[in-house]
Amino acid sequence: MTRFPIARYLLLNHTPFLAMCLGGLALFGAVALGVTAALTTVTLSVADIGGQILHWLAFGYGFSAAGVLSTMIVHGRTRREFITQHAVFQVITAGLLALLVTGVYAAEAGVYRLAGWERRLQEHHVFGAGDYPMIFVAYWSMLAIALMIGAFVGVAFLRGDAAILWALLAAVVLVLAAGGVNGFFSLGFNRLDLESLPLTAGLSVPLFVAGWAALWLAARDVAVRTKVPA
Amino acid sequence: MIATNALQVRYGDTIAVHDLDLELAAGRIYGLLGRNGAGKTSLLSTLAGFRKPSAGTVTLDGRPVFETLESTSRICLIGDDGAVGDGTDRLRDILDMAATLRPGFDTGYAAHLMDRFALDRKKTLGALSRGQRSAFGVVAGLASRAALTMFDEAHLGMDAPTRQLFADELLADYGAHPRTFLLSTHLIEEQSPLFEQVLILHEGRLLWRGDVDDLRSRGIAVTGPASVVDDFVYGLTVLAERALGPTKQVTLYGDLDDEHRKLAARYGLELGPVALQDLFIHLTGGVP
Repeated sequence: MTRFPIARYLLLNHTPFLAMCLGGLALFGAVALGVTAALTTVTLSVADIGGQILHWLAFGYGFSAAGVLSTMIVHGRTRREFITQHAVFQVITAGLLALLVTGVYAAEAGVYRLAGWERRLQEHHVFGAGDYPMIFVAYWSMLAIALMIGAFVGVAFLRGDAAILWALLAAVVLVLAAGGVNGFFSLGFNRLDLESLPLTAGLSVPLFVAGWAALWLAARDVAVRTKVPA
Repeated sequence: MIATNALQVRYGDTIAVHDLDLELAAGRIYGLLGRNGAGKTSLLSTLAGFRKPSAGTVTLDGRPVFETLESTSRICLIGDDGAVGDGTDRLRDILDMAATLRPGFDTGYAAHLMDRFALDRKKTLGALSRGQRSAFGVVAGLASRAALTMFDEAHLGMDAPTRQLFADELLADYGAHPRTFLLSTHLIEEQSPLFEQVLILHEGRLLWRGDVDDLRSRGIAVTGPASVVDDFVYGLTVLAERALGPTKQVTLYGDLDDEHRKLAARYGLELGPVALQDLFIHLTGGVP
């Protein structure tokens, strides 16, 4: 029997798809930058603005985990395998995407320097414009936690009834806590201004684990109802 | 062997399956019959580990089914919507996924079935018609070569030739790779030739279980002149009546004693087998 078949399937099929989506978003950002530069003076980092969108796209993709869980069970796998292997997939994929985003920041820095444009980042971030290790860690933290939150909320919807309310409540708490740690969705009252790589990385772990625990609670005995969208 | 012990499936206050004790020996084709809401899908979902039993147990060869990989990897349930992947996935990608996830999946046989059912591998699951989706579910189910393969109304939307193809392929593969099939259907007459045993579920309880021939022998059809038939069946349990001009056919429940058989011979009445559907309707409470 193949070892870790769920993680293998997701990493070989979903991760490249997500990387392509990120490439598409970067391309769209580049076009938007070109149009902006033709019309007015560029002062903001377009990668930084795109990063905010990425946050919500990660939630959306994470939500689709419920469908993946159903498919895995239809093909004879267990919920326990899914809970474990989907988390592994999330950590690896978030790391890979964070690496690509860091590369986009670096490429953008070169372009802005050549063009002589000002490059301001949003002030609530935990990283500076050239602090690439911190950019990588902040994005890894944001993507992994957002994927996990989306996953447990999605599975809670599959479960139905009161689970949805509990999941949404847990999601709000985790989004706000994660916002304080990695600087994404920072609303002021939840701002921690950590700006320390070990601290951001270290505090991200318990938040991801808390999300994983919520996923376990939602998925451990959820009934599968299959349906192909028309 | 798949077995249930005091199995109960509940949805809130509604009990879909009541304290069911069932043992299905391996290597046979079983038909699962029941009216809408009889608990067929709830039972199949629980047998496959899609749903946790509310009470009682389900075991495959002595091992629990729910959340036991050694069991679930040997069970395949294809539902009535052929949902074996995401609607946006191409069929070839779903088959590749099935090969990754299922240890016994036969890719070559899946390719053969795709050709037989004339399914386009480049199409997405969501783009298929209802019948094509059902056919694809059948492909995934048969190619899984799971020790226990269950189809829950998997023929929905298929036209008659495709349903025949499904039956032919199922029997051919059953002959080549004997395993246990459990087929839930409302097409009783059409699919009953496939069954070695029939289970009738009614209001969440096992109403009847036995060989198809045993079930069939519980009824008898009497054909002859209408007035003679009417006199003959007086006092017997009539399941159905059909008149064609002066000739009438009446379906009776239960076997005839020797006296009735002699009477039938004396009056020239023809005795024959009954339609399973008539027996099924009678056993499950008659026509509403």
